[in-house]
Amino acid sequence: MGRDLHEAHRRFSMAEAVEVVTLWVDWPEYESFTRNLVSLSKLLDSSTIDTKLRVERDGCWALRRALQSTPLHPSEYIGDSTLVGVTLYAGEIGNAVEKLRESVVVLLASKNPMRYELEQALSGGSTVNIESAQTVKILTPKKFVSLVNDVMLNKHISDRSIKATSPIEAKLSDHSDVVFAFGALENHANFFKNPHERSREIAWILNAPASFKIVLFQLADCPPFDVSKYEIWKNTNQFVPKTLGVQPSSFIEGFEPTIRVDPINPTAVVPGDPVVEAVVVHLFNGHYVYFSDAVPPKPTCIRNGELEVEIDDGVNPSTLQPGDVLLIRTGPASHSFLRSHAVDWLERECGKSEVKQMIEIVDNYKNALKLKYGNAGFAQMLVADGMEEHYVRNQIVRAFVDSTIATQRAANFIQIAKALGFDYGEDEWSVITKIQTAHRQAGRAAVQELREIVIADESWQDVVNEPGIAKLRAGSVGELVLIPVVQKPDQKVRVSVGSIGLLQRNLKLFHE
Amino acid sequence: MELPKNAPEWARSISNVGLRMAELGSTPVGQLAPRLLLSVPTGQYASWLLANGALQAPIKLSSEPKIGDIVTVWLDKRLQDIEVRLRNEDTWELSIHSSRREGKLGVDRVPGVVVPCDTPKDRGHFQPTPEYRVRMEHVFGPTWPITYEQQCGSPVVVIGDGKEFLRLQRDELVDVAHDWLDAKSAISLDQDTHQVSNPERILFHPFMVFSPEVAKSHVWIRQITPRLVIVTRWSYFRRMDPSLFSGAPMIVIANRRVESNWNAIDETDEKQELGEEFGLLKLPQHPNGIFSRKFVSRVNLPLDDDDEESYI
Repeated sequence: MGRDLHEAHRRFSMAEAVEVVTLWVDWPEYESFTRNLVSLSKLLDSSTIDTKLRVERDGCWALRRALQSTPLHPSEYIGDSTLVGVTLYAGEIGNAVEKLRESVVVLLASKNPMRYELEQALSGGSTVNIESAQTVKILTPKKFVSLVNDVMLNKHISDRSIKATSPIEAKLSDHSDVVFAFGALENHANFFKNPHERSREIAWILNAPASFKIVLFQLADCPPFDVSKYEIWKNTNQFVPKTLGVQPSSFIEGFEPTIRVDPINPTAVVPGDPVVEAVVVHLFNGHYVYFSDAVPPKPTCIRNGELEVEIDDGVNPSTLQPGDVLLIRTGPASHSFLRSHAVDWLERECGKSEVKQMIEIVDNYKNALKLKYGNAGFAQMLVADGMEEHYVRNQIVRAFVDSTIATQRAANFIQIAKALGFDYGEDEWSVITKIQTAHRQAGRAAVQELREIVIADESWQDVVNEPGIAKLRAGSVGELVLIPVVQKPDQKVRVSVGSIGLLQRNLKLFHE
Repeated sequence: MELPKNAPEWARSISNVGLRMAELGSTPVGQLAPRLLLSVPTGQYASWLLANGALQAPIKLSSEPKIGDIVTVWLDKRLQDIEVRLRNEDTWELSIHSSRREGKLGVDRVPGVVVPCDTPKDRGHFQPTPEYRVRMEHVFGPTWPITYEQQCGSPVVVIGDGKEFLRLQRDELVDVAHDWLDAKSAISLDQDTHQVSNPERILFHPFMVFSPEVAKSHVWIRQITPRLVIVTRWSYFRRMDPSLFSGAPMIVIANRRVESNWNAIDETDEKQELGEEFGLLKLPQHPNGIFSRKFVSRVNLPLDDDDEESYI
């Protein structure tokens, strides 16, 4: 978006006057293909199937997604590739495979009627009136943007500016007069989200909105357009959709593949390593990560903002939802960057020799505190002096975490230090506050660095939405992994404090 | 699409809601304070239009300063921190060099706002440029220093990130759509300064722009009660110290192009014990596409229970 008042004025004006039109489109060859695909997938769901058949089935789902959410003809999508396998299968599955293959052949010979409707609208020969529209956007999944742009440009349909765009690009770019979309808008939402959250993810297209007019072509397997799915809160929708055409009578069942995630059996803890309660966050493709309320790090999520992606750090792990994209730092630099940034900052402020002494104070304090892990007498001594036992135990556990310094309470620091045998007072406390300030500065610098990295190359968005795992090199912050959450966290385990926040991999996770 | 000369309906509506919320009084500790979720199709410029309205609301100064308090007041041609002293048995005074303000104890309110006890002693002062003085005199009249002092003593605070970007929006609004703003708000918003994001400069400017974490490094700032707090995202509202400015009315902007907007809607479902007065408060009508929802949150005592911080 142009960061200017003109664009903001346009967005408020569009929200005030948005017009939503839906148009039903009949495509018998597609309907037959989809019915057969759903039928076979139901037979195969939760069964073990051979790789060839899985590839063939997945290819058909990809074809369906392409045809449902773009104006592409089947032949344009397929090109020279082969979709139909030759392996024969026995029994009920064999029959279903053959029926699907036959319907694929028929489908490939047909043309996408949504393309015809689009061309009619663009040339002024349709009941969908876009007479005054100069700029037109065609909403398609990112992977088809280039192909759709190619086929639409070759047609020279009108003098209008016509451009295919992904929803993310549409959100970040300037307005258009009309947006055409195909199939259910939810096709553009994150794969792992539940239907309600998918509707919410794309609701901005209609209620933010993406243009003054939104035209949605729908095939027989699309649910009827339901305004209430996009309401901001109850009874706050600002548009009444106009529906053209009649929903095709062909009935196609819905199908959601079963995704089961096994509970994690935590590995044995290392003797002497503190153990904390943590939630297990299941991630894409068998990965998982532990987070704990007791010790950092907290989850960091990447979310879509208005102008750019936003880094939401310090997220409560129990609020994570399927489809949230976690940013996890990996590699050696990810563990040392906070201290190295903080030391750099301190050296600029105080000079090298002084910083060495300052760091020694913190290290001595933390190392001595670590040695008290499992020492009940130490905690009891401080409890007798008025401290809470839980607080003392938490201080000891946090001493094992690289990114922590010490309590922020001067009196508590001095009291704990005394119990550890140090003669620390106000001078040492002022050192602690300086190092805490340095860590704060380092944290801000790191967040800024992360933000710049994820904004500089947004191709990771396509990877995680497909879905997949994106990796980014992140300079002094280490390597970054961007990975979707697949399940709302509900499993709690006790794990070593050293494993909190580390990306882990389960060997077997998804069942097919 | 050309910009209209006068404020369009959406801009007027947002300003009006800022005014209406800023008119609400401060809420004591332990009670439920009024909040408003403002759902908009873009978050751009909304903060400044809300501030435009809020700066038109009556100022709300904290309780009267006492002898020995440090107050931020206009004295010696600048806004600065001065101790309230006893001049004689029934007169208070504020003085520095040859400048003095005084009044009868129990009769004349000691001017200014008490600065919290841990506020840095060396935070300086604010002295407007000659050009800005002329402009303020033109808008506020000959008593402009007092008006300016009071505006600053009851500031509008914007909580957001990317502070430079927020300032650029303000610059553009002031430059390109000056007529959309109230004349008095416009002069308050039109400050040639880079100090409005420095927490130590609070009470020197009519508006401030802070990060959600401002209280972590400036704990004392939690004791100040602004006229209105505008939070640019729900995620910032959640991340803020719960006691930060919690007695002030707040507006949280829910930008429908931002994913976390839906968290705001779910979570405000549970905060609907509005109370009679706030429940009956009539808010301005919005044009299509702008929606507002009242909610409440409890005013918390500042507590240092956030024991240890760590970044990412």
